[in-house]
Amino acid sequence: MQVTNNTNLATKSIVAPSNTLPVQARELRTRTLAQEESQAQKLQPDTSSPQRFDVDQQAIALIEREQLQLDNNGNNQQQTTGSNDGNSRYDAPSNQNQSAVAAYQSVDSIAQRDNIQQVFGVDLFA
Amino acid sequence: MLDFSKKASQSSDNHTLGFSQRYQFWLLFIFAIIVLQIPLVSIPFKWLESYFHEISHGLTAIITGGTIVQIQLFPNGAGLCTTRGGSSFLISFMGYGGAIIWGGLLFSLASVHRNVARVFSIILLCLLSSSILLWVRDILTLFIVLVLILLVAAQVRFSSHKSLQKMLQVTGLLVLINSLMSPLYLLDGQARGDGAALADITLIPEIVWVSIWFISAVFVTYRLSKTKF
Repeated sequence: MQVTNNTNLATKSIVAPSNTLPVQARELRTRTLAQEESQAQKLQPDTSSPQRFDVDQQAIALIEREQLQLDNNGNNQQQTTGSNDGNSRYDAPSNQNQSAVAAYQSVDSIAQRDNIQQVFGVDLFA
Repeated sequence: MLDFSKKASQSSDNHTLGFSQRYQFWLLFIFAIIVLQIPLVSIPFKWLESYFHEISHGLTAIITGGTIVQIQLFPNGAGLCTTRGGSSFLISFMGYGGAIIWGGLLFSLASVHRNVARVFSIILLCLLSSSILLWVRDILTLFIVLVLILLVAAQVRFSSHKSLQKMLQVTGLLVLINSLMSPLYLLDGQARGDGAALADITLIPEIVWVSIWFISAVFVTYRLSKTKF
């Protein structure tokens, strides 16, 4: 679009007075061409300079790496949280075990049968 | 002459008995041991032994003038009988002793006649049902006793008379084997349970009581092996 505008300017300058027309037109043309080139260079800096292109590639590679690392970290976190969930699920006692623990706890209380006997006046037999 | 002919007929009878009939008890005994090794199948029979253990504590308490406050059963085969009054010595002793008697009784009565087996099963159902009404106070015990009721009821309902007899015999042996092994768990050095309670009352070491229960169970097993089918 900018190039088109410049061309329009050149056409406008071409419509200038007839005496100075060829020189001015040439100057204007060269200017506009120079402007076009500089603008084109500005517009397409990556393609014009291979060093910057390389840097950008490196940057892209770095960004990609960082992205990958972030993704990996995210995945790792998800995995770790997942594995934590898995572990917690794995470590969580099943209903059977919970009831078994409750049973053991109640059987342990038999050791305090004397106290219970004194308090409640009952005997406990396991 | 007459004696000689009698002995001759007996020996001929023994010879005519098949292998399975001659060694029926020990075949059932081995079958019961195998059943006890099967993880899920063995659980209700462990509960049954535990129930007989606790109900023996409780019934002894009633017989000796006390009352049962509560009976608790746990999924791991443990149990707890809370009583008030009665003879502490007899109540403590009759836990394992009672389980041995119940196992032997179950096998013997099932061996007498198929109708006797049926009547005994119905009596057992009544005892389990009345336990729920009178002494069960928690959901877990209620569930376990209901499973035992279903077990016995299924044996009565879905078995022909002959197979009911066999199933009750196996059940009796399962209870007997459990009560044979259970006292040995007391030898854990923790001084708790019926053996420790008896040791406290009598000052006789726990191992003596454990030995008495174990020998009693072996003796009952031996006597039952001599039972004619």
